[in-house]
Amino acid sequence: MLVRMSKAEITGPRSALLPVLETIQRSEVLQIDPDIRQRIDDGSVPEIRPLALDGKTLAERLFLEDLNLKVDRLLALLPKVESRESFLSPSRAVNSIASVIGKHLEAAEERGRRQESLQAELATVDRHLMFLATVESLAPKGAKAAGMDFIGVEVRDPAALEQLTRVAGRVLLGTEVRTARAQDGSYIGLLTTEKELAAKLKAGLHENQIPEIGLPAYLEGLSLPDKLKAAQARRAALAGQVTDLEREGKEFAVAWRGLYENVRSWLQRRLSLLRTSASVYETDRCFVIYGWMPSAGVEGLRKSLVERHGDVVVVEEREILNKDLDEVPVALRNSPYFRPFELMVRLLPTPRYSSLDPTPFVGIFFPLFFGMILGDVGYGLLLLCASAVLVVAGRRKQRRTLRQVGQILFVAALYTIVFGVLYGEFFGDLGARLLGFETGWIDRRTSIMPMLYFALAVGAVHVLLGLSLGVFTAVKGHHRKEALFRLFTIVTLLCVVGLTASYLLPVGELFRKPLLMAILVATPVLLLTGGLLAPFELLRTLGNIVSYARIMAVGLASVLLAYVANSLAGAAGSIWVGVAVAVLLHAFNIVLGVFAPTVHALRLHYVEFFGKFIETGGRRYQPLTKVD
Amino acid sequence: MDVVLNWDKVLMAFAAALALGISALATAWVQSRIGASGAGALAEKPELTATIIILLAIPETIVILGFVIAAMILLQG
Repeated sequence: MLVRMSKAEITGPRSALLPVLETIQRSEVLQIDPDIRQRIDDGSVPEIRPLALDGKTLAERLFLEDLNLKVDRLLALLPKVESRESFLSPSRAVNSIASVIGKHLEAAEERGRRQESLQAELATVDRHLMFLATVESLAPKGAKAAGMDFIGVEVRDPAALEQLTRVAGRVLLGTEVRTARAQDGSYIGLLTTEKELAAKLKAGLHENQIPEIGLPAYLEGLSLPDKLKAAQARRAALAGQVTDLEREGKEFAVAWRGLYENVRSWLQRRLSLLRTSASVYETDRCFVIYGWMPSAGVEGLRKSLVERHGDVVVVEEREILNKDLDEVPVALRNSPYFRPFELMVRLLPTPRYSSLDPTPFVGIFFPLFFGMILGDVGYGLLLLCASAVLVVAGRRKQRRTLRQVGQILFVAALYTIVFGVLYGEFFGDLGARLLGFETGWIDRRTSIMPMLYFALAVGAVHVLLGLSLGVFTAVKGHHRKEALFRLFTIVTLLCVVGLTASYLLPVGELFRKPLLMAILVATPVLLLTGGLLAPFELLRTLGNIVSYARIMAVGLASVLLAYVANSLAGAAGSIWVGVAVAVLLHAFNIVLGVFAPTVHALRLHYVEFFGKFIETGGRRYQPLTKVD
Repeated sequence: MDVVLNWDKVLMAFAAALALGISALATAWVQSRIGASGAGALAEKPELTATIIILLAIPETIVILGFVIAAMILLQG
């Protein structure tokens, strides 16, 4: 159900504003809404105006905003480590923290820059090492290498390799081209030529824009093995420096991270208070706060404000006006059984305060539809186990959604078992084949038309319930014409349903004329209240009822798949192959069996049912909290 | 042995197949359009996942109605 809300007006001396806001923040019940003021009759308190912060508070806010930015930057630079819990009171030490954070931030940024530059150099040395290792594997050894020069080039793709061979051949006949794949997947080409001709070859490569791999100065003039050794030594030195910097950063984080996190959380609370003060009004001597809160919490807030600040702070409940109704924030509160189903309602836009909370209806009908579609004792038992696993896995507060999904699945699994007993299904017809279970009340494989009538009857009841709730919300919102239209839609719909049923009943002919007369009488009222589009609206509602045929259709698909799984398993010849086929197909069916009923049951609610009575566009209730 | 074709049954089966087949194709086409647009929307707003899944399920009404008609043709003919 929707929580009953109150429009609250809190007044007190201006000097007590921040402490009062702190108390409100601790209570976590008031959603401050400065727009309420615009809807109040201005004649009542003419001198009221938006609060202008005094110089001291303004300076505090600017100072804290700046400090907050610095703390954020510093924490982003520090590694995440287990740090000491800080018991320092940030409100007392804020000035000292502000004086040291500059140095800490500078040191952390400098460390970050050095680390970045070392990492870049390390990557370059790695690339050189890779090149040298590849060259060593390609280059001729011993006497063959005497008097030869080696030029390394990067080869990005096979086309570049072809170009390289062509250029090398054109510039100098006799130049040898070899390629090898480096560790990172790229190709490296090695051109071997006589030392005297190397300059000409390099010029040719340059002209054709083939990039030569250049080596740094510290490797110049060394032999290939010495180049490798020097590069490896350089890499080790750089890696050592990076490790030192990382250790330094970790040591700093262990010592300071806890303190700065504590400071950040205090800063956020304090700044949230100071920012909220922009939504407050003032007179010459008082502050005025307007907001929304659950009616049940008004007395509690009043008591805690009086206890902390004396009876100079007053909480008053103001009348909720018709023009306020669209702005009242909406909070849902349901019994423990229905609470998990709020998850499904929250997927849609929030209903208006003048509308209804659909959660109880989802809690009743969703598992019912799910069970009607899946309806199998075996699948139900498996889902029951899966729901238990989800509930256990979702015990932690952070995994609340998982627990709620498990709770919904638990109820849906129970309904699946109940309908499984009614249909006489245990993994399709496996129960009847192997365990000798008797068939249930209705065999879904053969009773297609009875199941269709059953599904349509359920649809008619569901849609009519939705329309009845629509009449209720229209009356509640003082929309008389709309209420009348919905009422006559119900009457016409009942007549159409009765007329259809009259063709199936033995003495149905007796009812036809009166029903037709009733439809004729209702039609002008429908046109008057719903306009020219009323007949189309009625057709749409009839289409909505027919849409419930999916309960039968998707259920039939599920039972036929189970039947096919059992038949194929029986025809396999070998018991093990049969078991494997049955397990595989039933596993596939159960995955479909969870997904399809969920989506279709939800769709029946969202499209066919909710559309009849829910007005969306409400605001979610978001009170001022300690972590804002 | 001569096989006598019961043309009534053949035509009924053909009509049922058309009712289901054409509506299945229509659903598939609509779902392909919604799926493509939905994937685009999800890339920008992942919080729309539930809405997109529901939107994808909406055109399945077409094939379900086709199935109902096919069942009525076959079972009541």
